[in-house]
Amino acid sequence: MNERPRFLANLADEDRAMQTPRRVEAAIRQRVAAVRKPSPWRFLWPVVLTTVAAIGWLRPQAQAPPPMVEIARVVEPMRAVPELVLPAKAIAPRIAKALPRVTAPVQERITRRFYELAYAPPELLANSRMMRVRVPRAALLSFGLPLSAYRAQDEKVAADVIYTEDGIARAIRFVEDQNQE
Amino acid sequence: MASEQDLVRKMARGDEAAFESIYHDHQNGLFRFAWHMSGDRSTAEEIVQDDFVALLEKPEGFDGTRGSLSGYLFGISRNLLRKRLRAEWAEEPLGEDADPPAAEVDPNESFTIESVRAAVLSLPPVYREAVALCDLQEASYEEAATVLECAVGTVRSRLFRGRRMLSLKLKGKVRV
Repeated sequence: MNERPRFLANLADEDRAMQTPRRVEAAIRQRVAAVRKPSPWRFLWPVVLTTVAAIGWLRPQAQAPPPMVEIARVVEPMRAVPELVLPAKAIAPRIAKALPRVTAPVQERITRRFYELAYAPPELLANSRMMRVRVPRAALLSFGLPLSAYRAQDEKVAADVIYTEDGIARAIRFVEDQNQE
Repeated sequence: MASEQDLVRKMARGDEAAFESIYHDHQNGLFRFAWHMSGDRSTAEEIVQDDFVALLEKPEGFDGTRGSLSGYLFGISRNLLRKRLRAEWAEEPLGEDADPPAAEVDPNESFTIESVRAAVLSLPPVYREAVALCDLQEASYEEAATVLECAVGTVRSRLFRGRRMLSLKLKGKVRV
C-alpha cells in the first residue's frame, strides 16, 4: 500500500474547497493591526543627555568644564513642542523659516537661527521633532554667539533641539530671556 | 519578491500586506489539517488563529534557512493540536514495530466521503497526522518529516500503517 488509496484521494478532492471562515481572518487581522512599532522616540532622553554633554564638552578650554554629572543634572525639559513636520529639503537655515511661529511669552525671545549640529538627509528631516532643553550658557560660544564672561560659568540657557527619527540631534537654536540681558 | 523571512518580519511589525500574503498562502491548508486532525470545525478555526498569533508574537521562531514557512506553520498547528488533544495523544496506539493485519481490500474501492472522514478521525493521532499531511494535504515525505519531527522513513512507515488501518476500518473489520 505504497500509493494513496482512492478513497483518500476522493476525500482530499472533496476537502480541497474547504476554506477558513472569514471571521478567523478578521480576528487575526485585528491582532496584526494592534501591533505597534515601538516608538523611535523612546531613546530621545538618553540622546538629549548625550547632546547636552557633548555641547558642554565643546566649551572653551579656558573654562573649567563642569563634571559630567553636573551637566547631566542641569538638563530640564521646559516643554516639548508638539511634533513638527519639516519640509523634506530643509537645511539648517531653511529649518528656521519653515518652523511655525512659536507664541512666546513676552519676556522670551527666541533666536531665529538654527545652527546645524549634524547633517541630516532630507527624508530624515521630514519627520523630526523639537524639544526644549536647558544647556550651559557657555554653549553659546561654540556657535560664535556673544557671551558675558560673568554669566558663562553657572547659568543655563534654554535651547530648542531638533531631533530626527534616528535619535540624532540635527539643529539647535537658543532661547534667551530678555529680562536677563 | 520578498522572502518568507522578510514577510514574517513585516507582518510582525504590523504590515497588513505581508499578513495577507502569508495568510492567503497558508490558511486553507492549515485549516484542513486542523479539521482532519480534530474533526471539529471550531477547533480548526481556533488552531488557525492561534497559529498566526504565535507567528505574530514570536516571528524570530521562524528561520527561513532551516525550512519553509509552510512547514513551520504546520509544526505550530501540530503542537497546538497535541496540547488540545492531549488525552487522545497519550494513548498508546500501536507499537511502531507491529504491523496491523493486511487489509484485504481493494484500495480503489469506493466509500462514502463521510465514512472515510470518520475512519481518518478514528486513527491514532500519529497515523492520522501522517495520513492528513501526506494523503490529504499532499505534502512530500520530506515536508511531513519536518513537521512531524521524525525521519522520512518513520513517515513512510506511519503512512503505510495508517492506510492499512483505514482500509480495515472501512472494510468493517475494525470498528470505526
